[in-house]
Amino acid sequence: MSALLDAQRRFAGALRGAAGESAMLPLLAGDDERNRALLGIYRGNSVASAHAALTLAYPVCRMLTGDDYFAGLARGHWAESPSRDGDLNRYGAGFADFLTRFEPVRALPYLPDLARLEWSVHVAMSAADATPLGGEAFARLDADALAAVRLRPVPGFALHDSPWPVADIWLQHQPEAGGTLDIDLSAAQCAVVWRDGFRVRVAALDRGMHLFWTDIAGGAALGEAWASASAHDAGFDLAAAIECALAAGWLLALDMQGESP
Amino acid sequence: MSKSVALHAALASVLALGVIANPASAAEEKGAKEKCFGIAKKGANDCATANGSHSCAGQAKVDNEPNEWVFVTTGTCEKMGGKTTAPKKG
Repeated sequence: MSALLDAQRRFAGALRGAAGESAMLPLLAGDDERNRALLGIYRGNSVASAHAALTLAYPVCRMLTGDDYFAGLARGHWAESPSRDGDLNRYGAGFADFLTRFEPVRALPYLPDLARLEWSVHVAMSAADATPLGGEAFARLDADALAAVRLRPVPGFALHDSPWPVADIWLQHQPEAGGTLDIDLSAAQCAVVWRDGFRVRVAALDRGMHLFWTDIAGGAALGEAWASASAHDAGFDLAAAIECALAAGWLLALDMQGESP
Repeated sequence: MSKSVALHAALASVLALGVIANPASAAEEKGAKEKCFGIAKKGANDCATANGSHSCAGQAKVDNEPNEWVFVTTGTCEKMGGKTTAPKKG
């Protein structure tokens, strides 16, 4: 191992916890006690950066738990998975999985799914710009061509299926919601996330719509996706689904059969 | 109604949508729609140095590693019904 790599590993070890300080101290000039205190400041910054990044990505989780509880979660996640990326906007992808394993969170069983939704919101915020498809893209098609068409959603478009009312929880914690909560925690909910200009939108989806768009996002032809949605929900309304997608700007491109996607 | 008849009825209803059958007027409507120019979300990499003496996040405090964290909720989860048990799947 090179001397530099060795020094970097020792320094990283000291950042991870006070137990790692002893291995770092021989490399530092000056008084050990003072150097321990200085390493503690580095460590403090490291925890604070992780906390700040998670606070930006998971604001609703933080509102639900309260600040001190959330700070404990951020520390716990950081201890397990420190940032591995120079861009802190990408830190926190595994937060939901951490919450699933973290014992105290069992009392708030909807929190991991809410964190998954918030991560999609966070990712959608920095998703690539795209000009959504307009209705004219469909105008040249006949019914058979339409059945075979594959639709590609815009960057940042994401779907969620939870046993908890994640869309309601998220929506009622937005600044414009007014602060009164009216949430039926026994209601399962599907949700869709997409970026609309500078705002990320979240909306509840009924199950038929969720199945349809999950199939579409997975690359199914429109007719196939219709069949699976209709099998689940006889009242599934294809025209309403397409109209909604065009109005909201969910669609990026329309690939004809035989065209490479 | 057979499956293919149902599918063709559904496909016909898509092609009959105003936004598809008559996209010109729909485009006009779209142009009139106000674009949302909100303020972009703060980035996680933004520096917040209050006094310039420390690195990003302006944290001067030594991390003394509290091993034991008492997880007491003080947020809105209580307003939502507080603690709850695992959901009934199905």
